[in-house]
Order: sequence, then structure tokens, then C-alpha cells
Amino acid sequence: MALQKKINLTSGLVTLSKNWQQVPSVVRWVLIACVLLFGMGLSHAEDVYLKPSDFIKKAFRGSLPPTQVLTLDASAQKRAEKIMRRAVRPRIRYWEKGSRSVWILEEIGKTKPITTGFIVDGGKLKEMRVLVYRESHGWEIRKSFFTKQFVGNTLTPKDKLSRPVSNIAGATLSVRAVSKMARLALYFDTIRS
Amino acid sequence: MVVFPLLFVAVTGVLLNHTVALGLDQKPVRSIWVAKHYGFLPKGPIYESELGARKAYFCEDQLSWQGKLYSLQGTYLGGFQVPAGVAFVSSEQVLLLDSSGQELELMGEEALPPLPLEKATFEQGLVVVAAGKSYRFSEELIDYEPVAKEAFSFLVTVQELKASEASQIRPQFVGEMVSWNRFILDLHSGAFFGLFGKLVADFVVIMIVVLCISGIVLWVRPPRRNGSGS
Repeated sequence: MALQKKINLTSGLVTLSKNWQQVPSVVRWVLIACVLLFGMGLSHAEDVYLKPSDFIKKAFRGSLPPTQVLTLDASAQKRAEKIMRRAVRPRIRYWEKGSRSVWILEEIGKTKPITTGFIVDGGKLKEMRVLVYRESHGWEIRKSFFTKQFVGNTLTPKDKLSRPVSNIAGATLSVRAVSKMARLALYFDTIRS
Repeated sequence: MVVFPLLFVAVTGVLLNHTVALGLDQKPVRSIWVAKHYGFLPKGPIYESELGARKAYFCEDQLSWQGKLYSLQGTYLGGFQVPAGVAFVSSEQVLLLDSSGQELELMGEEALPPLPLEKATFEQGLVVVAAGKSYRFSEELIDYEPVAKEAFSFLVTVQELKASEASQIRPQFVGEMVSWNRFILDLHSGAFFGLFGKLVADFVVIMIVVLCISGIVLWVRPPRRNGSGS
């Protein structure tokens, strides 16, 4: 049934492309407008690439460890706020097993929060993954060519990443947001337990 | 005639040059008039819930509690006193505040039962219903466990306000969307007053150019001599 629908859609598109010149110009413009509007609608939708709970399960290969809560004292909160350059909530949920810890953090890129998952192992970033992206631009930060730059990064004594992260043209604010979150995840890992 | 608009453009221009030093780039404009002008005053229905003698209001993913605004996405299900402070529950998130109103945690999908949450109540702990099952949170709202649904009475704690009441509460939802930096920039360019404002700003600038050129011409040109005798 699904295969039949796919064939019908494909043959319909082929027929339309062959007879495009015969289609009345009004209909052509309406079709183009519909495609553009649909595209705009898609670009503004909330994109859930991976549910945060699934990221946590994946990080621990399916066996979910108990939830831990990190409560920041005044000095830790101040340091976290210096990294993020905004107020930071003092209660942070995380998951750990041995040297590995998982953090789900959110930061606003331009206007909407980007939900990102971080796996830290032995003080080094093991994985960074964009889980939910809500902005209309800058989604390229979820691509592996960008996220793999974070792997192996550690936190310097000045709370910076040990290796610089290259910017993406048109996604500067999103790049800054995930870089700050990466630094925060590494900092939280140093003060947990 | 040109003096007052010129002064206005000059003063706003000087302010613009020093917005960062003056901290105006971070400071929001808290004015209903300005919020309305920029379209930032939410128009949707306002929901009310009671926590003891105090009331919380919710409108378009924003919660107003004790004079402060908080972000809370989803459909509002109510606010409850919990040992850590106050918990506000929506279909997508749980916002935990301490007794002074400071945000402790915004709990999302990774911290909650399968979304969306359908109902919430407080009986020996925060209880929520999700996918037809009831879950009770631990005292510190760290974990939750499934419990028998029949044991709880889910009273309606959230009510939509009537239009007349909503219009009184709506000003509480003036957010922090417009910074003084942006507001001054729009005043300076005239854009805040629409096309008329832009044309006035253009006129002022053209007049400045005319004054400068005519001034230079008058300065360079030799003075006319009246009469033929010396």
C-alpha cells in the first residue's frame, strides 16, 4: 500500500515536470508559492533530532543510571554565570556512570533555546549533539563536520575550550551558544560529586 | 522649525553611541505602550490558578508569578506548593521555583514521564497524569514512580479569565523583548513613528546638509558691496 502511494506520487511528479510548460501560468505561480510557503513553514518548525531521554539512554547503552542533581553553591553559580554571561539555574540534573556524565543543556541562539546533549568522560568531551533546534537559521550546527570539533575538548583554567571551534557563516549565534554550553558541561563535570 | 527634530536626532545619536557603556543594550523597556507598538503584548487567553492566597497567571508560554515573568512552554496545568518551593506544571515542562521566586530548575522531557502531561495535582507529592497513567514525584522532584490513578482527585485548578479580567492582568505580560538600545535606535531613525517618522528624519538630515552647504557657500563667496562708491 505504502509502496503504491510512493509510485503514484513519483509518477505524478514526473508527469507534472514533463507537462510543466502546458500548465497555466496562474496554476504554476500558485504551485511555486505553495512550495515556498511550505518550505518557510518547515524552516520555522521545532526540529527534534533526538529526544533528550533517548540521548541519555544511548549514552549508557540502554541502561539508564539513576538521576543525579548538582546544586550549585554561590561561587559555582557565579562561575557558571560568567561562562554563560546570563543567570544560571542552581539545580542541574545529570546522569553518571563511572567517569562518564551526561548533561542536557539549553541556551538561546538568537531567540529560541537550543537543546543540546553532552557526554563528558574523564574530563573530556566525548560527544556533543544538538537534540532540539527551534531557530529558523543556523541548523547547520547539528552537522557532524561541526559537532566533531568538540570531541576531545577539555576545559582550560580560564574556563575556555582547549581547542578552538570554527565558526559557521550565518550561524554565529548558534555556534556561540553551543560553545558556551560545552564549556558549562565541562565545568559541571569538574564539580559534580 | 528644524531645531527641535535636530536636537532629538542629536541626543538620540549620542545616546546610541554609548548604549553599551550605559548598559542600555541589556536593559528592557518596560512599557505597555512600547510593547503594544512592537506587537510583544500577548493577545491570547489568560489562565489563572490559585496557590493559597496568591495567584499565578499564564498566557502564551509565559507565567506571571509575584510580579516576575517566567518561560513555561505548553498547556498550563496548575501551580502547586512543594517542599522545595513552588512547582508550575504545563503539558511539556515543570518549572520549580524557591519561595523567593528564584528559578531552581526547568524540567523538560528528560525529567518527566512520557509527554504530554495531561493533569496535575498535589497529594503526598506532586502527581501528574501522562498517557493515561499517574506518576508521583519524589519530595525533591528528582524521580517519579507510577501510582494507581484511582487514588487521586484531579480538581480543576486552572481557570480562563473573562475578557474584562484578562485586560487588567495582561500588562503583567510585558516581556523583555525590546531593549533600550533598539528603542533609541528606532527613535533616532524615525522608524518608531512609521513612514511619517522616517520622512521627518530624512527632512532633518537634508536640512543639515543644506545648512552646511549654504554656510560654506556664504563663507567662501566674497561679500557683496552695496552701492558703487567706496
